[in-house]
Amino acid sequence: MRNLAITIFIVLIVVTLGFYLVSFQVRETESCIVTTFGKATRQITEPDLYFKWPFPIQQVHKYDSRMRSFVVEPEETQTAGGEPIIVNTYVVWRIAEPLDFYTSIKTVQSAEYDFLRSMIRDVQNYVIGRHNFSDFVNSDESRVIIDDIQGEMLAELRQDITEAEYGIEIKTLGIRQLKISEDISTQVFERMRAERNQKAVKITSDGEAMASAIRAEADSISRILLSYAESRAKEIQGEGDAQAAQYYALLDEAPELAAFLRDIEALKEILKTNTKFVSSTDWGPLRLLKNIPDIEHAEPNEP
Amino acid sequence: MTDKDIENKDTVDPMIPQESASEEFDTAGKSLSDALGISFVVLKIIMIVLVIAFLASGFETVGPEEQALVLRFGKIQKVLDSGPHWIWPYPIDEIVKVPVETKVNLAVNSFWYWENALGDAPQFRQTDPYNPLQHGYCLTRSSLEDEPVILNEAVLEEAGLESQAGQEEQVLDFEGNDYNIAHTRWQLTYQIINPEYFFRNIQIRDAKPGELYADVIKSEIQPLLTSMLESAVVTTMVHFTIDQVITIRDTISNNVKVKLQDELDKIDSGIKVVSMQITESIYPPQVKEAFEAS
Repeated sequence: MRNLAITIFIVLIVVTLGFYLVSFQVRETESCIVTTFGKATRQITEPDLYFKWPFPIQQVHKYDSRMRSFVVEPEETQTAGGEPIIVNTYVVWRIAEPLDFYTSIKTVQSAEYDFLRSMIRDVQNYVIGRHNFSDFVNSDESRVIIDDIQGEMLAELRQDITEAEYGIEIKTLGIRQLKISEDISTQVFERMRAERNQKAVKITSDGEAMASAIRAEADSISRILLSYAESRAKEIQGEGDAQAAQYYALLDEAPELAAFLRDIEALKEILKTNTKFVSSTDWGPLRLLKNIPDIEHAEPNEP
Repeated sequence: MTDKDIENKDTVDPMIPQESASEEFDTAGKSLSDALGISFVVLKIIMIVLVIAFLASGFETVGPEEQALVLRFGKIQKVLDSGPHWIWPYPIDEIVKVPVETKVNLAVNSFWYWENALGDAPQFRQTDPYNPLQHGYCLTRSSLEDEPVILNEAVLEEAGLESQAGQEEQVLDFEGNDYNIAHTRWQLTYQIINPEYFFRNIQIRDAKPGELYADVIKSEIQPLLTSMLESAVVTTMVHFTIDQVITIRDTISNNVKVKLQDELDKIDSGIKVVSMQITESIYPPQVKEAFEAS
């Protein structure tokens, strides 16, 4: 019984170890090549469990086959019109065929710095050399075809890589910086200033034209208002005169009463506030204050 | 009698140590076999414990902001939502947790002029050029309404330059490629919405012990996202004028957002652009006076 248990145990260990030696997993994110006696014989890109002869007959080299980004240093290159332009390109690439990759390039670092960098540079120079600066940026928006230029660079690069059989797939390519050289930047600033100043001049002159138009309008309106006001004033004056004429007619009928009433009115106005007023009692309205009859004081009622 | 005795003695004497020897062997052998028996029992117990521990190590919890991918023998088998789960432990199954609810911010300042660590810009004189290695900017197009610049008296006066008497009007003709230089600062917010695509397609190194995978993702993905964002910005900005950059920011940032999302979807990244904003936009300091006057 014990011997059986021991035997089973040992067999289990041997089987598990053996399993480890002849099998390997390829992860979803990996791809690998199998070398037989050092020579690459088989490539695997699908994830799964696989079997091989144990070391040193066969060996497995794994690559991370996912996308990675690589940026090339900014390069000054020339457009078709001979204008210098500084472009900074990046690519997103991955290892698609590990066998080709292993035989030609071997490592990711080498791929980027020895191969991709110079290929991207060549493609940049070639494609940009076919276009004018006005294809990149233009006051006429419909002539800006920078997306197409990017697409051209991508297509050219893909073609070059396929021809070279590096086992690399370029997923996308883009221009991440577009700049001009230092000397040209001064020219651009000058032009920007001149454009702005011209705009300023235009705006000022436009403004002045508007101002004078507004002023002229205001003048004419004020003239109209003034003449209307004047005519209205005359109207009112006429009405006033007519009304006054009525009263003057009344005055004629009882001139003494009219004078008396007028004097009282004048007295009221004069003596409204605490006025110290010294005059002879014969003066105009004050005549009324002379010869005021004595008013008897009312006796206070005895409670 | 003596012969017999002697004979008996002879035969008995050597027998005694033999008996004790075999007795000793017996006891020794017995204790050894006992020990072996015990150690086997202990071994069996250890084995059972190990197996249980092995199976128990498959118990994993997926956090509330994550989704997890289960790989069986390397192949993606299923996606787990947050909560406790049990999977076969390595080497049968492998679990990868991907943060899907977290929204991460990324600021891109590569289109701004150089500022030192305190955020102070150098004093720019009107005639200072831009060294392309030191300062960043975008190119914007000129507007169609810009007539060719005529240097007449009015323009020169505005610019504070003297006009020489008798100088004819100069027409500054800048052929076709009229463009301006503008500075912008961007803020991107992104989120991983498809962990399967993301894990399968974008290269992120594995987290070392003690590192949070979410942090590793954030730092590894930054160069890729920055490049793609910059490319979207550059190719969008050339369609607009500098006035539009300063005024209709929302339209421009929306265009950039759409373009970036397009590119991200094209490479099956599983990343979604949550928002894209221009946080600052301005003309270069060299032309400040001219711009402020207009």
